[in-house]
Amino acid sequence: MIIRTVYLKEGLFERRIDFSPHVSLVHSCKNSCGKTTLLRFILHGLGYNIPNTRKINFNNCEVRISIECERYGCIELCRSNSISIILVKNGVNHTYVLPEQQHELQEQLFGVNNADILNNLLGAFYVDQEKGWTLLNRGIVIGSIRFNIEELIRGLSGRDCSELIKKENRLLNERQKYNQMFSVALYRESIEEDAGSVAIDSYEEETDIELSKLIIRQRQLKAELKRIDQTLSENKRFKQFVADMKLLVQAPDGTTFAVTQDNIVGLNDSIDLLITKRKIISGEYALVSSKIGALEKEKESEYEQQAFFQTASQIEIFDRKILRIPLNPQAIKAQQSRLEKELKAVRDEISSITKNNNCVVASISDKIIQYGTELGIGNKETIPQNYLFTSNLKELSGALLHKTAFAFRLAYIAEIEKKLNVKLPIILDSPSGKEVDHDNISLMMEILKRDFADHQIIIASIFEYNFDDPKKIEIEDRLINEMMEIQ
Amino acid sequence: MFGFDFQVNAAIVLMLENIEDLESLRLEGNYEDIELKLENNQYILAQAKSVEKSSTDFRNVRANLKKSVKTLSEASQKVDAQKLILITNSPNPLNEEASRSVFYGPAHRLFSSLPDSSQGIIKDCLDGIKQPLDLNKFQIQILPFETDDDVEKYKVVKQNVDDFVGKLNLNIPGLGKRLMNIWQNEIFHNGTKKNAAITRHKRDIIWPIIVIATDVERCDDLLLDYFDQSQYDEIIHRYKSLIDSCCERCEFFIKVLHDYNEYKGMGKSLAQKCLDFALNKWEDYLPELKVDVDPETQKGLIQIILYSIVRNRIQVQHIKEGVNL
Repeated sequence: MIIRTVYLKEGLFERRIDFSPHVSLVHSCKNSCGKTTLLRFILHGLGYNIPNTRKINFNNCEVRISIECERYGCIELCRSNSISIILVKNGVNHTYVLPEQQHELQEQLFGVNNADILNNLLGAFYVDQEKGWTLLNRGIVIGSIRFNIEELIRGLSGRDCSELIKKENRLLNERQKYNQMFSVALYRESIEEDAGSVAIDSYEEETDIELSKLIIRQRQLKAELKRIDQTLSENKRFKQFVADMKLLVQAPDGTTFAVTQDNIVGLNDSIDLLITKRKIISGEYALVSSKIGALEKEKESEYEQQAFFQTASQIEIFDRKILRIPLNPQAIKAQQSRLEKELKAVRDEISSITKNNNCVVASISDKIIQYGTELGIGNKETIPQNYLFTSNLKELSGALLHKTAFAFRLAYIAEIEKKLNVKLPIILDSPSGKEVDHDNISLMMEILKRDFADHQIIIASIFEYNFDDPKKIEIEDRLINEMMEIQ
Repeated sequence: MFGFDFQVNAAIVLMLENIEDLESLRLEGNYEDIELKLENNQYILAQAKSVEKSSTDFRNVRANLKKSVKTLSEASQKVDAQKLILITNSPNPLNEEASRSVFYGPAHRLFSSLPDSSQGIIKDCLDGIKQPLDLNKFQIQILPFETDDDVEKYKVVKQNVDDFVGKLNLNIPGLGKRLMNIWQNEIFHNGTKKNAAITRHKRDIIWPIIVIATDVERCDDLLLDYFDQSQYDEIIHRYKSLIDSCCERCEFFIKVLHDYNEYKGMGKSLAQKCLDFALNKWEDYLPELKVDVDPETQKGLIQIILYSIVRNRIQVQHIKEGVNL
């Protein structure tokens, strides 16, 4: 994919910026002129939900981007608000609602419809100046957009874990609830220990127990009544059906008689039985309901009294209610550890589906080792094969982390190209940050020149880089700086 | 309240004594406190008179007697009465030493069976009534009914219900008490409605027995030879509403009854044939009644359903014949 031009408009000002299909350097001599803003405008224009920069609110601007895609050729994108984007393909306008139709839009741009891949493309081709150079395999790309290596690998290797991920989310949800319960249980214990100050009102407790029993019974009876009504109407319908058939049957002795609704063995009896059963159950239902009503009224008057006398503070009332909830921290703890085990098992399974015998993993790892070696991060012996999935970032610091992040991104981009035949642009914001010395930057740029010459490279920086004939986009003072011609 | 409670229970007792010929029962009817309409269109009319401290207080019994024979006389002019009854809880309804022992316990005394002095008291009460009742139809019935303790108060009523249930030969523990409660509430509710013309037919009175008798929660002794009680309870607990539905939905039970009819159980009792059918034919219903459980529970569930359908049919027939419904 190549970004050809970007047109920006803010109020009466506008700017059209042409990009080179090879290397474009967004440059300014000073900081805070709008380099990062331009890169973010590009992403915003591609349909991503990107946070504003300090000076410019994207929703007040219009962005038009012309791009050339591998699959659909020239496409123009126009975005002037946060909730929709217009895509012009072959002269036809298509409007996409964001973020609901983001995947559909991106499918047009990248020619891929796998959500696992689409969710993680930005993390591969864009390196933010703040978060980007510390992002290796999992984390925030920019704003609320995240990157996850496992997801990308599953997408690239066509492995589906959606059911397991659903299960994982359900378990996480449950675990969160149990955690809340556990803290309530601990709180309850602490009130109990505070002996004497709040005693459980046993009468209230009894009323509550009685009420819950009655409510359960009421529910059972209601379900029973519903079932009886249904069967009753089915049986009556059957009875009518038989009567309408007007069948004649012959007995073994030769006599003929009509089949009527009254001579089917057991039919009328079953209807009478159901009617009586209904009567008995309705009687019980009415009795239970009136008992519930009476108990609720009793409770209500108690609360009213409490409120009237103001004897109990909100905290006391709350504590009383908490004390009435039977919570056992040990039992909750047991549930928590059960959930942890289940969660671990699910995660192990997801991980094994993702990682085992996966050529994508091997191929990305090889690339990481190759670039890691070139950049002086380590070599085949010191960088393990599964380093791709590392979660230990503490051991990396400063320039090392910077270079590692770079090596990882390039490995992802190379693999995406290999699998999908899509040449992603490479957008780097301030690659010279973090006190990375000139030699290291040169090593990084050499790799780009050598292995990614076919990709569009856009770099924003206050420094110059040694590329053959780069397109320089100079930004002075402000990004959108040309007054519109008023016709 | 005490008076009405007595009236309800008196009606239950009279109803049970005449259940075979009964067509309908009404409390606070057009003619009398308790009206039993019989299948031959005749009536049994009863005046219910109660005294709270019946065993010691006889002050008003004569006045009660006088009022009763007056209204019974009037009512007997309006309908064809078979019996005219004064039903009371007083063990000394005539307040007379000579007849005290006659009315001991739950007595039923026709006019002709009373001592002369007692007959004289009753005849005196009829003085001044233009069209007095036919004394050959008149009887005094005692229903002991005293104190606030329900067990004591209802003991004779309960005995009557138990005897009735015993005759039906149902062998259901606790049936008498449950039935008495249902009847007391059913008839009571009828009686408290403003429109006393609401009538309870015999079927309304008898069907509650059938509902209780066909309840699957109770395990028949015969089944217990085959099922462990806990296994039975477990299946009922989990699948009661499925079992009920199968027993009640005609499209299903008609099929089972047909298969049972075809099933050869020569030389066996009805109950044994019913059990054999359930134990041997359950697999035929597996496709329709497949549930996601272990094979043993699945088998037990279908057997219970088949047994219940056939057993219920037999019970319904049996009870209806027993009370001539």
